[in-house]
Amino acid sequence: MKKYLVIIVIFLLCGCEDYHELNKMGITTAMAIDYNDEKKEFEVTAQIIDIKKSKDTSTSEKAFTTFSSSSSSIQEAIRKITLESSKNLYTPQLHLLIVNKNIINNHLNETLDFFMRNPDIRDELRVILAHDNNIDNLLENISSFSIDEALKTSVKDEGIGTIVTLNELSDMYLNPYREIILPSLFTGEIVSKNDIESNKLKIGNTAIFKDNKFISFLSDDDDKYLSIIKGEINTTVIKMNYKDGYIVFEPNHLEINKKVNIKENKINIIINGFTRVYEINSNIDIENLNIAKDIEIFFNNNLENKIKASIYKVRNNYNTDIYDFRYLYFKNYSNYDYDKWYNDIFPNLDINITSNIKLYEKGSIKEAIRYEKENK
Amino acid sequence: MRKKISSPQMFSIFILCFISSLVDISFYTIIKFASIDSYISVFIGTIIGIIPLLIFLYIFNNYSSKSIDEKNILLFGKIFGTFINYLLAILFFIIGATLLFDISNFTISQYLDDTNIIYILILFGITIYHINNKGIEVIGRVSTIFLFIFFLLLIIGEIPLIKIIYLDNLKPILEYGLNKPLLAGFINSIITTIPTYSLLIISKDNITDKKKATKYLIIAYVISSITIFIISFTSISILGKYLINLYQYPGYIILKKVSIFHFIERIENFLSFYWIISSFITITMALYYTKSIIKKGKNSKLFNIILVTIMILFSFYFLKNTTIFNNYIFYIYPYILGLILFIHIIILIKIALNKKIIKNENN
Repeated sequence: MKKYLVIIVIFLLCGCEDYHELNKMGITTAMAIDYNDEKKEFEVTAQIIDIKKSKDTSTSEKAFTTFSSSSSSIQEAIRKITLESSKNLYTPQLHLLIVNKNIINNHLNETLDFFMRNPDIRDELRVILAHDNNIDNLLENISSFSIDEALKTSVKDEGIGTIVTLNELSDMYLNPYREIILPSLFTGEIVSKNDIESNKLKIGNTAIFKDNKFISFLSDDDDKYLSIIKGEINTTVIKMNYKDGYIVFEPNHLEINKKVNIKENKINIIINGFTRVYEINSNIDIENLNIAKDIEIFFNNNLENKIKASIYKVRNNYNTDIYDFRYLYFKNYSNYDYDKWYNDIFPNLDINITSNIKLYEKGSIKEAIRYEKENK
Repeated sequence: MRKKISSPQMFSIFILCFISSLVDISFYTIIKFASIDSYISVFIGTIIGIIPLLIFLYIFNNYSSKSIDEKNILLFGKIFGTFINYLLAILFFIIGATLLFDISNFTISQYLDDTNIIYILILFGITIYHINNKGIEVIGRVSTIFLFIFFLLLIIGEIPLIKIIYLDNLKPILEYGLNKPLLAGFINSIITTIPTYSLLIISKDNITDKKKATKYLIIAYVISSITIFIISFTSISILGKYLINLYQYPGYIILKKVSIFHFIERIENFLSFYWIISSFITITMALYYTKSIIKKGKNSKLFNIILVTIMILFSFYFLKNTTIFNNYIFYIYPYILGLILFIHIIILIKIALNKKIIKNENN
């Protein structure tokens, strides 16, 4: 009996039966999806690692290739890429999805369904919106890893843009109390270096939507303040005019606490954290305790005003709740008439910001250079 | 072949049987009812589940020299007792087949999406057949080893998730009142506790240190309840209201987010193995239960093959695909478990009445 069992198990456990060789697999790291309204077809571009080139460090050639195809469904378009590239697209390494406005505005159902349903695709995949509607050539000259790194740096070090995963995008789309926001990507002119053409890459500002339709891109400052309010920021740089010059602050370790006061239709936002001074171009004696305290108070007051002004500006210009205030309301008061959110509640929403950010560090020098020059 | 197991082995089997239904069957049902209040349902289910546990302990502790099938014959007579035994055997066989399809379906949907489910069913079937041939002592030993692996994987999986728990995702709390979480809690208590009733096929006297058995079972219940609460709580607080409803296996999806020291990642398939091993023990026990009743405790390899084959065919032909399976676990499976509970309530009443009669006679 055991012999028969062993024989059966040997046949069942034969892992070589349907194996794929590494060089026959198209390890896909990024995809760009567009929709051609005239042809009514999805246009899919996949960036695939070129294993031979990636191993060869002596050449400066691109270590990836791109393949494009189109069809009436995303899956069919991807299958066509498989035929064209003669490689099976291997998607577990896929970490970047580039979409354009048309996809978000009109074809998010199909796109999300395909990517969320596929068990090989990780839901931590990052989604980014291309500024330019024509995204066919976007992945041809820029490595997906470069885009990913640029995005991370932009969000982490500047507070511009936001990281949106597939999971997060699905949540924003399915949740009736949230609006979609997405990081964006610019591609500049083509530059040539060592006979390799590549696009200049820049992470753009956050794209904002209302009812899943694109509205606009935020300005740099509005983007930073959005990141602060959402508590997603690690660190950022804020320049403030102070007396006869300016000071550049770098707030960090920010903690945001939001509370709803439904009776007064008011949201209280408390910001705690720390800031360091990075640049002082003002004739002030920062070693003076009173002045240091004054700078801290000035920074907090100024930040409160700037954030408040930014929220009101975005609200008045676009009337979209990108700050998830409606969701905050819903979490606290689920039985509220949210149908009148954009007509009555949101336009009259009062925002109260309290900033308790502590100034804790001013770098290697005691005084500002300008102060030293002009006073000593 | 020895038929005795120790209390720690029973403890291991109990925990694994209790938890096996959580990741898919129990989650699917309670999320459909209670959405983000599912963790409250699990808590309520733990309290309600004390009743099935007490029923289990009462039946287990009385007529300690007899297994459940022998107790039924003694209590209800040969004809009706045999009928109840066969009915229970069929119901536990269905539990086994349900879980067999469940883990096979999970395997093909998440690990081996190009593989036909029949291969997976056969693979699991062969392993279950083999362990069943070895008898309850080997099942007990395997369960003890599996329990260590289970908790090791669970700890590795859950600890890194603590930092991404977002308590705000649990709000609004009780948006639609307490009725749905209560109902979900009741169903959850049945789904989790009833598979453990397969342990009643072992008579108390066959537990080597039987005096400790009750204590071990109560501790096992507490540990299992805490475990399922932790899993459900982390899943909901990480995914939130809309994503928790979207995924078929939320407990598996959150494991995709596990990152240890920022360089050990993509280990969800390894970590989710805890669920497979717990289901494996439940199926094994269900099959052992069925076999023991029909063959009256005797071991027959041929009969085991027949049972495993029927189980595989049942899973393959009746449950077929995820949609049918989801409908089945939502609309039919709770009633099957409810029927098992109902039968055991009758057994409990009969035992209590018999005890009263004997007491009166003695007086």
